[in-house]
Amino acid sequence: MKSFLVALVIACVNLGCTFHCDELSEPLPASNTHKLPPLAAEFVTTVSGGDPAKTIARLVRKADAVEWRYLANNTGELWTKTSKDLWFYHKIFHADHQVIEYSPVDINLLGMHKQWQYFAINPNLLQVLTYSKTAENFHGFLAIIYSGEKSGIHYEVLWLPQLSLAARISATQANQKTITEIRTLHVNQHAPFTFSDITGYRTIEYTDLGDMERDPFVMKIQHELLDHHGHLH
Amino acid sequence: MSSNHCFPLRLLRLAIIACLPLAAQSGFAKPAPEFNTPAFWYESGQAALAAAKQLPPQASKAKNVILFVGDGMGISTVTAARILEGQQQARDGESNRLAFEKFPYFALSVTASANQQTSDSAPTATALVTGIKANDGAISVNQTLARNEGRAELVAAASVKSILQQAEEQGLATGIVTTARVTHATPATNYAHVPDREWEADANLPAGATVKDIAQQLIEFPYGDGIEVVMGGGRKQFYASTEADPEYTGRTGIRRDGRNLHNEWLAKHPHSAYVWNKKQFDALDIKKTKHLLALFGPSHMRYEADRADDIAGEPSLAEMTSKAIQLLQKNKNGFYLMVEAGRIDHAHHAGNAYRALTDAIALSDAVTAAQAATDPRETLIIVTADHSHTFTIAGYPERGNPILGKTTVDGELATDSLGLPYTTLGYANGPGFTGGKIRREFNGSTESAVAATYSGTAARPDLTKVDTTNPAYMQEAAVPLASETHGGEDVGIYALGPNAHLFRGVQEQHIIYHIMADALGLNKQAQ
Repeated sequence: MKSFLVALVIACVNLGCTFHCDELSEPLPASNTHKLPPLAAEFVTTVSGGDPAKTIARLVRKADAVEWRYLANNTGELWTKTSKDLWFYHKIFHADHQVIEYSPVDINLLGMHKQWQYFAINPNLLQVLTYSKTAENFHGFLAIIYSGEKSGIHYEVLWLPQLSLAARISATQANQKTITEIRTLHVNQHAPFTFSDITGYRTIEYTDLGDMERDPFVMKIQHELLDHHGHLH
Repeated sequence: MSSNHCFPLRLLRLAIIACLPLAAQSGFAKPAPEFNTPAFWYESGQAALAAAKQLPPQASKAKNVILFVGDGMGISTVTAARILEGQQQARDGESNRLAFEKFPYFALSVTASANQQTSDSAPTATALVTGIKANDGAISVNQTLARNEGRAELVAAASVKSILQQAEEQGLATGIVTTARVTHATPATNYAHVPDREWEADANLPAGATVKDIAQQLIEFPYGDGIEVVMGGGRKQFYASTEADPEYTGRTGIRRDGRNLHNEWLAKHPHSAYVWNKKQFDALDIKKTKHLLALFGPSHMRYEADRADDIAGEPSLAEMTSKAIQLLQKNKNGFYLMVEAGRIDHAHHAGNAYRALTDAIALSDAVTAAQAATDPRETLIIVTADHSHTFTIAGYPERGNPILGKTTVDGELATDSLGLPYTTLGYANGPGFTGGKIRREFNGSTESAVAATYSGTAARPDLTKVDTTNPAYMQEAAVPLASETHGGEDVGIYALGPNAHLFRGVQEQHIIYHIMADALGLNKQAQ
């Protein structure tokens, strides 16, 4: 049950998929962030049943960058776009002022190259859900409800196709329910939080980790780097 | 009588078959029946013996020395790479040989450093080019220096001159070629002296350090007329954090001192060139170029398997080696060149055998290019590794079984104690850990990683439907680590040319420097 909880929290905290919704019943992953408006959003995840828990995550997105900041453990994930639609990925440890940087080659090697799109829900998961109905506008944006079941978990997603963003995800399994929802949303406007300034942080390339066996920071965060394939739920 | 007349020809034919391209004759993934016979094995063994007896005496003085380093290229990597190369060419992989495996002299190199049983690349490369063993992280400084010692005068006191620096002092041309950053540990040991391999740019130096960073030491290299050839990756160590990278938008250098070191290189050396892409590389006029700095990526260059995807284009290791030799041969006194396949190591750390092996094959191609451009009577060529990895070739796969595939016997998948198939290649540790059911496999159809399939309570994933020959496949590992580690067993030394015969038996790694220096007539104590 605990692993289910963790998986669900990870799946839902990373909220916000970049999808075009040309056909409402079949949301498609976005391939180009330039078509999306810049935004900032704060999400709250509430877990009920068993050990109740609440976590907060902040998303900041613009044409060439996407950042998630997880307030509970003061970490973050930053994707930055470079030439030829290639992306760099940074795993940020704010408390330590350290960054692990994955190059486009590393990302390709680890099969992570589409993960910049995994803001909330794995696109594969969203695509197995079916169109349920059109909901009331959310903060002035068209909203659609998708629902369905996968791996014994029932999902209901409030999807904002104009933003390629999920406004609410509900995941239910047995007596446990996890809800991730937008608490604040700022589209095309100033937000109280923005991209992290990591210019003073020490940057370690993922490729070089193997030669840093004595580095205290690398030794400390070793377990957090094992799952290179990211949040795929 | 007639048989005596025929013997040399027969011997020659058998020697060629035994020592070189047995598999080239077959044209099949598995050995052709006429070669895979008891008579053939015996006769080819006899031929190899006769060929060994006829090895000519080696000269002791070399005009040139080329040191090839396959970073992390342990014996199992060489074996697997030879099999993969043969199989990729639809030949018998097991009897295929990489270019350097055909060299006449071989020894085992003990890679333990002054303070490590299993070493990192810094002290092992220091052993290769300075002749002494050193501590972890050390770039051509002796073991008396603490790793965090940043005071320039203390670093200078512990610095040990490299063979490249000696060669420059003696008027030879010198060069460094690598697929890693040119400031990375192995190439850096040739020209820099710092106690910590991480000090590649000023941004990496600890507060209060007065020693120069590695990139700065390269540009301000004080010996002879300067290093003639420096090729590899690691551009960002050479320019400011306010200066944009020419290849990757949104990326910059990392220097905090505001310097542009490649411009300084151009200003320092008359008739010099700085290039950063394949087009510029191809357009180089070697006749007019005396010093060449080539930095093909902001960090390491691409793996050979991904080289075609590079934005600005990158030359292969063989192409860089050929170009370097052309330039160095302009000096009639001779040259010293180190060529490093730096990313075999990185691919192993990532648990990806395919890229490690294809980079090892690229190193073999570079050796072929070097052999084609030099005379073995005057050029000592050494191929070795700095250390090994935890990479294994396991199970009892039948001859001809795809080396990246699942182990099969008589065409049937071999299974483990859980009844599950397994791959021939694997790692003792690393990110490919399968326990705890956290394993993910790359799915080619969705181009993403998906949760591995586990059957019931099985601790290993079911590979039955997994294409383990996919370049993205991550081999399984027994112990979970974010990055696979180096291995502590010996590595090979393959040698050809003057002084090559001095490599024999099990030797400490630092003898490589002494044999190279002796061949070039460099005597550190006399200097």
